[in-house]
Amino acid sequence: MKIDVEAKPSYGLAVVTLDKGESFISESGAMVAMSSGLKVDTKFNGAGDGSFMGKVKAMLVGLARKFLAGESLFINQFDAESDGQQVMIAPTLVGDVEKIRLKDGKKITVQATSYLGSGKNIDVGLIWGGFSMLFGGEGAFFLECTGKGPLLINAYGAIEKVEINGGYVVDTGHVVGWEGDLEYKIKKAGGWKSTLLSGEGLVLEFTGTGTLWLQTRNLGSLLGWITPQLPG
Amino acid sequence: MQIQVHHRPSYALAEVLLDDGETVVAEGGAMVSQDTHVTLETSASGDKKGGLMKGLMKGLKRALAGESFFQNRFTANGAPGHVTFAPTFQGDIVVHEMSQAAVMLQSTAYLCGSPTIELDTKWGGAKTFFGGEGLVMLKATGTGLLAFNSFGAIKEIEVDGEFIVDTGHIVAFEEGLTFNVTKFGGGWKSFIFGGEGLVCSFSGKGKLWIQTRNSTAFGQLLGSKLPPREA
Repeated sequence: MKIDVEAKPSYGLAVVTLDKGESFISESGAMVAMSSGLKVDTKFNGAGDGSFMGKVKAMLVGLARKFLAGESLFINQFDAESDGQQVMIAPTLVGDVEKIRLKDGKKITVQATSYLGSGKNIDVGLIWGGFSMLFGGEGAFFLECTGKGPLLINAYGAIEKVEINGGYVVDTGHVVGWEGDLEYKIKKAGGWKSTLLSGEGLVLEFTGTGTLWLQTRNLGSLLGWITPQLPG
Repeated sequence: MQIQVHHRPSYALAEVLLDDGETVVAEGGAMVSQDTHVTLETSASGDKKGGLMKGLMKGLKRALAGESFFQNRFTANGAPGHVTFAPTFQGDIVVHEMSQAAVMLQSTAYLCGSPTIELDTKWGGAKTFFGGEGLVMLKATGTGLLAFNSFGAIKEIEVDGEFIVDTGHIVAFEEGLTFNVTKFGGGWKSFIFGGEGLVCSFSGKGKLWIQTRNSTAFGQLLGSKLPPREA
């Protein structure tokens, strides 16, 4: 399997090339174009085995993901029936797409709305990030991804990678994901006066060692700017 | 005439360089800047033949296609001149040299081109209406330069055989390709739940241009997060 990301950072497009027998999973609605030799299966967005109870669990997890996290209820699995089959995947939001390679034993936590697609051997679990994260404009749920293979994430704006060693502070609306030995705390940007007047609001303070992915634009801010300009 | 595109793929600007006496035809409202000696003439048709009624009818058809009713003709008068054009949407611009094959363009994709290119509204029929992108395809015939725009980046694909594209992501394609609108995934489950709806299956040999974002879907995403409109 080969994944190339084009049109970075504004209109990222992931071009996934699969050989016979290989598969790729993407959230529903993300397919832009594809070769004709791919079999498509639409499933509930929740890991589960093929058994009846497994399917029920998958449906419940999918519903939780949709109503709580804003993720799509369904995912599409593309299976290549011959070599060199391509599927091109893009998110709805304008912005970057980044490819991350996951290895056994490593865990990546991403914003629920940042998940775009992954290889078949990646497990994705839903976790709650705390009420304060709601002010970021993108919701308070995170996805924990483990397993082996490729993970595609998307963002509003360009994706910046920062290596943390010690500590780092990030505006809540700009966090895409992180991995490694990191702890985070939600705090006010400064004292009460700063928090109310600075326009910054809440921030995430990370401590430890690891990698952090940021987005260079903030959807909550965009919506906050457009809303008062609407008629009525 | 030369057309250079700057700032691809996000905020593309088309710069047209005209020889003295040369004309470029453009979508209404697309002009960003121009030399002072470039003159503007607005007509209801890109083509001087046929008289007023024919021109108005063509203009109306184009208006229904999502392109503006009037077309603007910019001519360099007395010296070579330049004029720049941009579409409304953030996105890409591609310049294609037309020689043999006609090009079918999504409505709203036309930006500007040589006056020797004839634009006609070709109705894709009921199939295109169900695509959700809706509406009509413009057919460009003739020779010369044609510049079209998109929402998102434009990717050119050389189709040889068969290739499937989500309808909201089609920008343009050469006439040598036949297209067939089908259900995504081939079955009802994927069609209803797969999030794609109808897709377009292209077959044959020719160029196809796709855009990496879907303006309708993006508008709906933002719209769902904004307060509702007053009745």
